[in-house]
Amino acid sequence: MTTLTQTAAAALAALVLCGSASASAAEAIGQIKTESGAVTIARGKATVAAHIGDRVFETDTLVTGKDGSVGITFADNSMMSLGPNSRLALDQFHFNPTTHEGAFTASLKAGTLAVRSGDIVKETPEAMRIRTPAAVLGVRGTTFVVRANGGLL
Amino acid sequence: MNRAFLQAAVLASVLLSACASDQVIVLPEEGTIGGVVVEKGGEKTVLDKPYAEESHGLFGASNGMSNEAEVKAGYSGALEAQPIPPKKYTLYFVEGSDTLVPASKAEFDEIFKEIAARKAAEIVITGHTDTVGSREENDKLSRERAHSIEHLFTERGIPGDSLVAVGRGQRELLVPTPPNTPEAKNRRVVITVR
Repeated sequence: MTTLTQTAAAALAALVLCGSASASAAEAIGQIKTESGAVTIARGKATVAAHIGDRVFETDTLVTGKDGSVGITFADNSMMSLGPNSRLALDQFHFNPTTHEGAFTASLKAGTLAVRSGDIVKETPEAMRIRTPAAVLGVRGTTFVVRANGGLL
Repeated sequence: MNRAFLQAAVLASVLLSACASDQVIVLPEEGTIGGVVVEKGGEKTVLDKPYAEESHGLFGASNGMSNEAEVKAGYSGALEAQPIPPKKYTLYFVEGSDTLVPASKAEFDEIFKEIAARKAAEIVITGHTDTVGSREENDKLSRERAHSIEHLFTERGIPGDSLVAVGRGQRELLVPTPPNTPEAKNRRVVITVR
């Protein structure tokens, strides 16, 4: 009986987890505001062309070509923009618009990135993190640029 | 100069550029710079001065000061792609209504100019309260205050999916007050155009 109850509980927990995962995946975390040249979004197994006005989602990866650049404003008013030949994975984004609590993690796999921090960091310093192949940047509130030469090191 | 030497020189320069491959530079800005904490292998460095720089390469980490010319040369693509920063407007209402006070009506027209100047504008309506009442009540009230003026935007053709209405309750007082203090300046709505 105990095992059955435990199994049922585990199944229920799994259902709840799936439900919350798909709910958060459906919520846009930012919007593309600038774009030029070749820019694509890798979303799951699909690759879609990126345009001004398009929404971006948690776990999207933005990819720019050799003449490409793209700029995004996120739900917490933070901004990121990519130069050419760049790849940025939006690993994690949570933001509560009432309390401003949240977390934002992105990985710059290659290329150049400009970042302006937003409300998440104002509420919780270092809750925004940028990973590069070499280091992790905890953002306390600032504008900065990052370069990553993916895979060469 | 033989061909093999040239190839070696090219290879060396490629490797050298790879050495300086990972880099972070803090940019100057108005006000206090909170900065960036760079973590690598358990070591932390705080960069909180304009143009403070850290690089990670084959020979480990190095710190230094960058400058405007270097940033321009290395990051022009990313910097030119920066979106226009979000812009905020504070609106005040005739007490207990969703009618704007005369000064805020002019401000409201400015908001539409700002929206028109952007390519994909989003409008975030954030309601705020004073400290009269409980936190929970004020969260609800501030949300209602924000929702109550959404129609001022939809009526002028702003699509619903570009509008977000949120409440901040009493968390962001314009005029700091003790609890349970009526204060007109804290009962406001902030419009963020981004």
